[in-house]
Amino acid sequence: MAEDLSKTKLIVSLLHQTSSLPVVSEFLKEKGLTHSAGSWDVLLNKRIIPAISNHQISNDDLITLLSSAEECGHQHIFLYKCPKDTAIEIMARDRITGALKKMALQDLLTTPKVLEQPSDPQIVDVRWETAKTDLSLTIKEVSSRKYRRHLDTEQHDGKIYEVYGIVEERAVNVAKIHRNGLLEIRIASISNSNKYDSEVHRFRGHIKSLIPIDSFSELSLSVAKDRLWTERATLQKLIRYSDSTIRDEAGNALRAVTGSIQSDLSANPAVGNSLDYLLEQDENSYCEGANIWFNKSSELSADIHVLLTGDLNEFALPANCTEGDYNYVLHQLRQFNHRVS
Amino acid sequence: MYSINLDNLITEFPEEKIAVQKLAAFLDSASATTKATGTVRELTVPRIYDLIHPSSQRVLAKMLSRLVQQGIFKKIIRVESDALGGIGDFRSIEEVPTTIFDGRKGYEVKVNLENIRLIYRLERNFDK
Repeated sequence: MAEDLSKTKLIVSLLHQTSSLPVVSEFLKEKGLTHSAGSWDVLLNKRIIPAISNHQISNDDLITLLSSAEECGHQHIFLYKCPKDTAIEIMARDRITGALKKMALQDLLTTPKVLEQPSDPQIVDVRWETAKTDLSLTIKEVSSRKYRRHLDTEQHDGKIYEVYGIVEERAVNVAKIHRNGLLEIRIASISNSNKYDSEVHRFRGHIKSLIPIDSFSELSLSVAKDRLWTERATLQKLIRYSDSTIRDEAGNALRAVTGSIQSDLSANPAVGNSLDYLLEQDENSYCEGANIWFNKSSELSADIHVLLTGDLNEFALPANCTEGDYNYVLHQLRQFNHRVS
Repeated sequence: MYSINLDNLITEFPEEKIAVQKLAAFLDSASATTKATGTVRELTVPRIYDLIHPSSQRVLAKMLSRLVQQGIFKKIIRVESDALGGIGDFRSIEEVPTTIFDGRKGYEVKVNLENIRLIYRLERNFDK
C-alpha cells in the first residue's frame, strides 16, 4: 500500500523543529540509504520521499524517529514515585485499554497520531516498552501554547507602550510510568517562564484516567543536589558547575556563579570552598539549586546542560537531546539521589 | 514526647502520623535554636517536604494551612530581587504590587511571577 506522502511531509516538518539534519541523515544511513543532504528541502524531496515511494522506509519508521527526537530534552521533568505493585496495576494493559476505550482513543494503541498544533491538547500516543514483561508505559500529548514576545516600545500621547506579539508554539508533553514505581512527567519548556505548576496540573488532569496522579508522591532530588555539589571534586570528569546556591533555614543564601557559562566553578576552588564553609558550619543549610553540565563521554553524544532548580522533584534539560542522553542524565540523577552514609 | 502538641494534625491526617512526628521533633529543635541564637527559621515548601517526608506536597499544603491557623507558621509571599534576596513580603498574592522598589539594586522593578516565593516563617513564640 502506498504511504500517505502528506503525512511524510508533516513528520519531516516536525523533525525539522525538534531534531537536526545530521540526526535524520544518520537514520537514513543506518537504513543503508543515500543520506547526504545540505538542507531540509533536499532531505525531504531527494532522500526521504523517494525512499518512502520505494518502500525502503515507512512513515512508521519516521514516527519512531520523531518520538525519540521530540520526547527528550527541551523539557522540565517532574519525578514522582509509587509502590511497585501500584505501578504494575496502573500500567496493566487491560486497565489502560479500557480507559482508552472510554475516551474513544483505543486506536492510539495501534496508530499514534501525528499532529502539528491541535486547538486543544490531545493524547497522540500510548505505548508500552516491553521485554519479557511490560517495563514502562508512555503517554504523549501534543498541545498548542501561546506566549507573548516583546516586539517594540512605542511612545505617544505622553505615555510609553510596550508592544507584545502573541506567539503560538507546539508543545509535546510526556508521562512515562516505570514498572518499578517511577513516574516522569515531562513538560515541554515554556519559552518565557520558569513556573510550571499550572501546566503540570493541567497535564496531570488530562491523563488522570490513565495515570491517577493521587497514587504518587513527589520524588525529591535534594540528595542528588547535595551529593553532586559535595562530591564535585571527584566528579570533575563527569560534571562541571556553572552555578550553585546554598541556602540556610534562616533564609540566607550564597550563590557561586562562573563568569562565563562555559567555565567550571571547580576551576577556582576558593569560590566553591566558600559555599562548602556554609554547608559545614550550618547543619541546616542545603543545596537549593544548581546549573550543571554532564560532560560529553562515550555514553553522551554532547555536553548536556541540566538545571537543578525549581520544584523539589524537578530538573530541566534546556536543549533537545537524544533518548540515550536523556536516559543517561535521569540514571545519573537517580544514582546520586541515594544517600550514602 | 514533644513540647509542641500536634495531635490535631494526626487526627486530621492519620496517614501522615510519621511526618507529623518528624515535624514536632523539628519544631522542638527549631524552638531551642531560636531561644539560644535568636535565629528565626524561614522555610520553603520543598525544604519542609525534605525535612518531614509527607506523602505528597498536596497533603503538606493542607497541613501547613492548619499550622498557619494555629499560629505556628506565618505564611509570607516574598518578592525576590533578580540579584537574590527578598525585597518585599506580603500576606497574599493579591497584595503583591505590579512594580516594587528593589532596595538591593536601587531602582524600581516590575514584579514577575518568577520572582515570587512562598515562605513559611516560624513564629517566635510558637511553642507558648
